[in-house]
Amino acid sequence: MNGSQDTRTFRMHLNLGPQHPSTHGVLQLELEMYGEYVLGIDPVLGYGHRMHEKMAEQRPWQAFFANTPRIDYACGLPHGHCYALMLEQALQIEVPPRALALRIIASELNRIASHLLWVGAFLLDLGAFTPILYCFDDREQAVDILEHMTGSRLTHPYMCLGGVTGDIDEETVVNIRAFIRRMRSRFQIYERLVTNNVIFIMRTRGVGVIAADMARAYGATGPVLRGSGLSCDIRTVAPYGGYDGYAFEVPTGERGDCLDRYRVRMEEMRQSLNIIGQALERLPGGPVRAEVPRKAAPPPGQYSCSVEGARGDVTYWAVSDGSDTPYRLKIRSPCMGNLSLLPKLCRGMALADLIATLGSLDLVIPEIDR
Amino acid sequence: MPDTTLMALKAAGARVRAEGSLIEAGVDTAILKRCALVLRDAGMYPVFMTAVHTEAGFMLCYQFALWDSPCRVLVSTPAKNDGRAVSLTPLFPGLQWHEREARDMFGIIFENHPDLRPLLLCDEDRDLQPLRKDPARLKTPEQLTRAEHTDPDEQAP
Amino acid sequence: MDTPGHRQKGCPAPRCPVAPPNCVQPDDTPTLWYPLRLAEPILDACRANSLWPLTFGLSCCAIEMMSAGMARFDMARYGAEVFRPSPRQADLMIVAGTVNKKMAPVVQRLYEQMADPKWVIALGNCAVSGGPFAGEGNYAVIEGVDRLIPVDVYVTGCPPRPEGLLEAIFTLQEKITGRRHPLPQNRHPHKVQKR
Repeated sequence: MNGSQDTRTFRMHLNLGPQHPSTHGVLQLELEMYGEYVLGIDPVLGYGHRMHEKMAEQRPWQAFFANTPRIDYACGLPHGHCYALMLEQALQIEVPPRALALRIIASELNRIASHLLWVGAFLLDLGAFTPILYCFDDREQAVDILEHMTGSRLTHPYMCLGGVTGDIDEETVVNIRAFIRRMRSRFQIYERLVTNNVIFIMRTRGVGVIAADMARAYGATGPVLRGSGLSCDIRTVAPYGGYDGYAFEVPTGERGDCLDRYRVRMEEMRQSLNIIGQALERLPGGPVRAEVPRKAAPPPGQYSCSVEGARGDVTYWAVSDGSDTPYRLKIRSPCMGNLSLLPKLCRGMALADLIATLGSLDLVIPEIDR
Repeated sequence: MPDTTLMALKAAGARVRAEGSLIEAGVDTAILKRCALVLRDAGMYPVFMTAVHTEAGFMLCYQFALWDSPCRVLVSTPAKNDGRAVSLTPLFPGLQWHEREARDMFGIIFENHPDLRPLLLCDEDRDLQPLRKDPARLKTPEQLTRAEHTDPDEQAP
Repeated sequence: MDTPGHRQKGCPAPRCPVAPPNCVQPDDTPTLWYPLRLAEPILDACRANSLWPLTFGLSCCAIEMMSAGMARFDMARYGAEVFRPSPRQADLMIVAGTVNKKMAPVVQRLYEQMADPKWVIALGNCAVSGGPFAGEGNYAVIEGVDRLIPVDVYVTGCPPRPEGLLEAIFTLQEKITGRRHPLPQNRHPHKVQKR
């Protein structure tokens, strides 16, 4: 900076959000800019705070299942899955194998829907208006199946203590197989339209490079950590809920830039289709819900469970005092770790690259705010 | 590897109990930083940091995990009586926002924290401390511990 | 009372309870110049057929709002295609999601920044009444966005289907012009009875 005139002209405080098309929810970023370049970011959260942890302390254990899909609404089933597994571990309830398989099918369908939503929104941020229409078209197919299985398009009330709320019929199995075939054929559209698109590559290659050590120090997990090269997926590292019986790969990136994170998510969708196919082939018969007590009252102690959500490591930690209401419930949001590295990462970045990086982190702000 | 981590934690003075791949460690405030250093050198990433309001004050709980093995470590430590605690942000930058949230929800002040502004609550609610419990509903730490875990032989050597 | 477009014809507009004294309220808007009032039905039909929503997705219902704008449900058929990020360019605020205490002043400021005539759709249970978060022990969630700004159409559901949002657009069109489909090309192909 040479002289006060430059400082006056180029240095400014820019407010991004909380109402902004690219913040993916209610995030406010207070930016210190030097012209087009970001000097510092101060994220302001709390605009989506909905007191989930306080609500958990005032309701019976089983009533919290209604909150779980609303914490991360884009991929809510893993949250319910995690809470259910934690309670079943505490109450020593054995989940029937058909329910385990149905839970996996629903979670993977939800992961695909969430990644499709992310791809569309990410490209919308970069300025591409067409891919989101294709993404939402595919997403509608997945959401239709989830609606048949769970009863709702978005906040699925499917996971419950001891299993799932309802069984699926032959028609749904046929529809899921048709969806897998259709989705596999749609990836080539995304290859031609997006992955091989020179503008997309120029906007994302080398942008927002996150080193693996930095990602780990900030607690970033999921595709953010995998894009930086570490093959860390709770479904393979610490399998839960029946995942150890399925064969699938965990995609990783090399550089840790936005393009790698995009590629990781696209490949994860393919692997999710593999998992669903395997689950359908070996779908066992039997009940879909174990016998559970009417009011769950885990013995006193602390219980913890972790699953792989679409955005990373979802961990629930509960303290029970033996009554039918939780004493403390902590929900660990993967987006919180992902976003907390943004201030350190974005110094010196251009504003357009900041938007691309912010989009590539796949944030759902009400999950951070809980 | 979980075994070396377990040994190092015990050597640092923590009361450790291992159940499969989940390690629960109770530490005193004085050795919290030393134990956190052990975990950082083992390559663990911070999962969360939170607190529980008990009759004996606040119990701070941290969870750390390894990226390539199922090992998870739950560290519990009591906060000081005046509601202050040591910040682990210099060791694990990912805990910065978790500690800000603990300040919002419980009113715990973290020493050496770079930036302890409200994270989730609005300005007028900054001292609301919503997750603090009414005195009538507080339980002692013993009432919140599993019955088979109150064995005094589980102490560190 | 025939103030342009904001309230249903003949209905006295309530004053927003939390509006500051200098906030423009519906019954304060100046009436149109007389010759233009003759063209008001045409203006209303134009406004109803070309509602420009403000991108104001707050939480879960935002996803359903996006779905309603996409190819399957397609709000563009009914004119509400152009989502504007700036409140100066929008005339419809679809409050999709939970409004909490920290967000409340933002909602009010955006509403005030929108130019008249403007309308508000409260999408989802949270915007209607606080939704699943209302009740005892609530310290953060505003129980209904109509405590902050005047709402024209309420859509219940958690989340409501995208068809619910489309129905809200039709209801709003009826509120503005008196007919669900103001222009002939939007008439239902199966000749549903006109109201």
